[in-house]
Amino acid sequence: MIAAHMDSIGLRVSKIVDGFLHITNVGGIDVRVLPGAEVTVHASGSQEELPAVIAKPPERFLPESAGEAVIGINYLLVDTGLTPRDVERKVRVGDLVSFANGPFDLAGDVVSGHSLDNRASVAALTVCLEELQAKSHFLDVWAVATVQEETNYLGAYSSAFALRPQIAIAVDGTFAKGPGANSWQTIPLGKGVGLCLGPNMHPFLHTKLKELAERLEIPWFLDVTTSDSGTDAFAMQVTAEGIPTALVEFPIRYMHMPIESVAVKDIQRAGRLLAEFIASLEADFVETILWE
Amino acid sequence: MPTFGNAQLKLLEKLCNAIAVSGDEAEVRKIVLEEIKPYADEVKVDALGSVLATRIGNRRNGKRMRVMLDAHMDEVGFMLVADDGEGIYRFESVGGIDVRYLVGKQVLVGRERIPGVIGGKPVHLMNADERTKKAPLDSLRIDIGIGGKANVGDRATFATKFRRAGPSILSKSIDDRIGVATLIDLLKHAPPNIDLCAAFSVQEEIGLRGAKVAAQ
Repeated sequence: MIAAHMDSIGLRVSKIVDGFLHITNVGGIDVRVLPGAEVTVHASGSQEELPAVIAKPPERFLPESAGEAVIGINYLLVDTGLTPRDVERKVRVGDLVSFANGPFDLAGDVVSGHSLDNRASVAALTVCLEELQAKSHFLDVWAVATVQEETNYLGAYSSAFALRPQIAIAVDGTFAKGPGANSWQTIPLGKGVGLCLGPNMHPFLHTKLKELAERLEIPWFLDVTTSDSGTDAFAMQVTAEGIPTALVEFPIRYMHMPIESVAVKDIQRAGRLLAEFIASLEADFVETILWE
Repeated sequence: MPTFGNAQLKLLEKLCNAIAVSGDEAEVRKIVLEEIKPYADEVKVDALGSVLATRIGNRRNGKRMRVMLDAHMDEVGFMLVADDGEGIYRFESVGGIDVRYLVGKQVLVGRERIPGVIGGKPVHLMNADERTKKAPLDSLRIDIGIGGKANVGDRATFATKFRRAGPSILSKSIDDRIGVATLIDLLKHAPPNIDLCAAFSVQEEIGLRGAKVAAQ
C-alpha cells in the first residue's frame, strides 16, 4: 500500500454574529496566516461557494496585549461582504471555509499554493503508477489517497485495515530549508527526496530505499524523527497485527501556510523512487524483511 | 449627474488591479491620463508624478470658483531591500501595513509582476515563545522561487484580484482607487459654475507628499 493523504487543513464556521462568521480550525492551522487571507465559504444553506476574506477586528475589540501577540482564532471574523440577512440565509454553523488563493508558479519549477501538503504526494503517487505501467512487478500495489490525515490519520487506519498490505509506504511533505527554517529538521528544496528514519519506520525498508536511491542516483536526504512522524505512516504501522512501514518525503517550504511551496522535480523523484522500489521487490520480499 | 454604475465599476476594477506602490505610480497614472484626456482642458504631470487636470467651467457670466479635489493614486506595498540569494529577498513595507497581515500572502514583484510569496518560519518549528508572538518584519522574506531574479529596489504588492461579493467589493488598494475612480467621473461631469482642478496625487501613503506640492 502506498498512501498519500488528500485532505488539507482548513476552517469551519463556529458561530454567526451580525453577518460575520466566527471560525474554528480543522487540523493544525497556523493562525498567524489568517488575517487578510482570501477564503471560500462553502455555504450549505444555499449550496454556494461564497468569496470572503478573514478580517482582524479593530484594535479596541482585541485584548490590550494583542499589539505584539498572535491574534487568536477566536477574535478573527470571516467577512463575506453580504448583508446579515443573506448570511443567515446562506451559511450554517459547521460549514467549511477553505483558502481561496490559486496556485503560483515560482522560479525554478517551484509550485506554491494552499494544500500542497499533501496534494503534491497524490501527484507523486500518479507518477509512480505511470512508471509502473511500463514495468513488471511481483507484488500487487494499492495506491490510496487517504482522508482525515490532518486530524487523526483516520483514513490511513481504516484503509490499511481493509487492504491488509504486507508493506505500507506513506508519501508526505517534510520541512524544506528556507526563510526561518534551517535547523536539523529541514532538507533543501529541489535537491532530492527525504527518507525518514525512526521508530515509526521499519529500518529494513529504510535501508532498501536508501540503497536503491543511491543506485539510481536519486539524491536523497536523511530525515530523522524520534517518535510520531506526523504522517499516515504512524497509523499504518500499528494497523491490524502491525505493518512494516516506510516514509518517502519531499521538502515543502512554509508548511501549513496557504503558500506551501514544492519543487516539481522532488515530486517526480519521489514517484520514480516508489515505482523503482516496487519493481525491485521479489515475490518473497516480505519474508526477507529482517530485524537483525 | 455622476453615478456609480457598471462602467464606473469596470474602471474601478481596472484601477484596483493596477499596481502603484508609492513612488512608482506609473500604471495608475497611465489609466488616469487615458481616462481624463478627452475631458480636461489642461493636463500636466508634476515633478513628483502627480497628474493635475483642470476642467474650465463653461459659465461665461459671473465668477467661477476654482475648486481642487484630490485623490491619491498610490497604494501601500513593499520594497526589496536586500538579496539573500537563491530567489529570497529581504523587504520593507512602503506605507503603513500591519505586520500581522503579511506572512503567508502571495505578492507580485516589480514591473514584470514576478510571482512571489511572503514566507517565514513554519509554526511547527517554533518554540513556545515564538508561537505566541507576531512574526516581526525582519523574520519574513519574499521568495520568488529557486534561482529567481528580481532587483533590490523593486516594489511588490499583494497579488489579490478585485472580487465582487454580493453588494460589496473585496480588493487591494480600494484605498484610494475608489477616490481616483470617483474623481475621474467628477471630471467627466463637472458642474459648469466652477473650474475643477483634479489632483491625482502620489506618495500619500508615505506622508501626503504629492498633495502638498499639487496644491501649490
